[in-house]
Amino acid sequence: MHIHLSKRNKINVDKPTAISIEFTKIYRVMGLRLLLGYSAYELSFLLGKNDFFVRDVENPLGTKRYNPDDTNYLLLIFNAQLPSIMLPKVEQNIYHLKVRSYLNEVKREVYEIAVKDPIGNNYSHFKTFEAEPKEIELPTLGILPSFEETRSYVDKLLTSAYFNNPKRALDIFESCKSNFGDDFHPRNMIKVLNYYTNKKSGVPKLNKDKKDNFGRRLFIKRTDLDHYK
Amino acid sequence: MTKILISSLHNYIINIVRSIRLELDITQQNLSKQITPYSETNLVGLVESDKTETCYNDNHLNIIAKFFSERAKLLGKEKIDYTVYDLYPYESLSEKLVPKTIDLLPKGLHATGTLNLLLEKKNLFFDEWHTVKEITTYCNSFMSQEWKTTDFTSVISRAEESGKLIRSSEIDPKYKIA
Repeated sequence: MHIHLSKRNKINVDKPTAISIEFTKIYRVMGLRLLLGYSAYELSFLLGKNDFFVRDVENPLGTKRYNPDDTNYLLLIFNAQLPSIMLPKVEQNIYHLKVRSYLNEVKREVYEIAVKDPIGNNYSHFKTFEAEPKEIELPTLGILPSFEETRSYVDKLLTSAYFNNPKRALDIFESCKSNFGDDFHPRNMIKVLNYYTNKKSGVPKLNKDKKDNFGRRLFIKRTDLDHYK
Repeated sequence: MTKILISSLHNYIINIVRSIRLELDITQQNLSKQITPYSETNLVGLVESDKTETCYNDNHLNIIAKFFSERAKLLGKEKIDYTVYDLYPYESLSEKLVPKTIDLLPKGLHATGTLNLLLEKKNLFFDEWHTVKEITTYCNSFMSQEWKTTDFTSVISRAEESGKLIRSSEIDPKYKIA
C-alpha cells in the first residue's frame, strides 16, 4: 500500500486489492441500512459487535469484512433475502481500488472509492461517502416509539423472566418488533438497553459483559453479585 | 474424540457445495485448484473433513459458483448457471454451533453424483469387476432410486476416461475402481 501526503494534508491511498464479492456486499449492506435509517453504530449494536464494527467494515482502507455468518445474521436483522445484500457472482475475483480520503469541513473522514476497470488502467468512480459519527440519527420511515414507550416495554420484559436467560440484541429487537410492529426501528431500544447497562449514567439492571459463541454481546438480568464487580 | 463445532450456516454450505461438486463430476483436488491455484493443499478435502474447522469464505464461494457454471455447461446439464445464491440457504438460518457433519447421503444426488460419491468413498463394491447393470442396481439400492442403466452409461464412461474406473475388456465390459 502506498500512502502519499500532499501539501493540503490530503491523503491518497492506493489499496491494491479487495475481494470483489465481499467488497460489493459491504456497500449493498450500507445501502440497505441507510434506506432503513440504521446508523453504522445501530447496526453494529444489532450485530452484537463493538460500536465501530460496521464503520470499520465500511472503511475501504480497513481490513474488516462481513463473513458468511455475518451475512446470515444481517439477513435475520433486515428480514431480507440474500440478493438484497449480495451479488449472485462477480466475474473479477479481486478489485483494484483507488481510495482518496480526506477530512471535510466538519473534520469527518470522506472516502472517494474508484474501482479499476477489468481492462486497461482506468478507474471508475464507485462511491463517495463520509464516515458516520457514532451519535448520528438517520431519518427513517420505520416505527420509532419514544424512549419512554420503549423503556416501558423493556421494563415489562425485565419484570418477567425474559432476561433470566441471556438475550442477544437481535432477540430483543425481534421481541420489540412483535410488540411495536415489523417496521420497528431499534434506535430507542438501543438507548434503553444502554441506559439499563450503564453504571454511570443509567440504572444498571442488565449485564452485557458476556458474549455468545459468535462473539455477539449478550444481555442478562444483573444479579446481586454483579453489584460488587 | 471431540466433535468439531461450526456454524449451522457453514455446515449447510459445505454439504451443498459437496453435493453439487459430486453431481458435476468434480474431484476435491480439481475444485481446490480452482480456489487456490498456487497451492498444493487440498482445501476442499480439508473443508469436507469433520476433523478440521476449515470452511469456505465468500471469495471461495464466488469462485466455486463460476466454476460450477463452466462445468455444468461443459457437461450439457440442464442447469448451467450457478451463483452464490445456490450455495447459501434460501432462508437465513438461526445462528448456532453444530457438530461439523458431512452428509453420508448428500441431498439431490443423481446418477453422476452417486457414482462419484461411492468412488470417492472407495466403496468396497468397486473392488470387484461389475457390469453397468450391476453398478446401476447397486447405486439404486444405495440411494433408494430407480435409475436406468442408460443413466449411468456416460457417467461410467467419464469415470473411465478420468482414470477413476478401469474397464476389463471391450467385449462384455466390466468396471472396477482404478
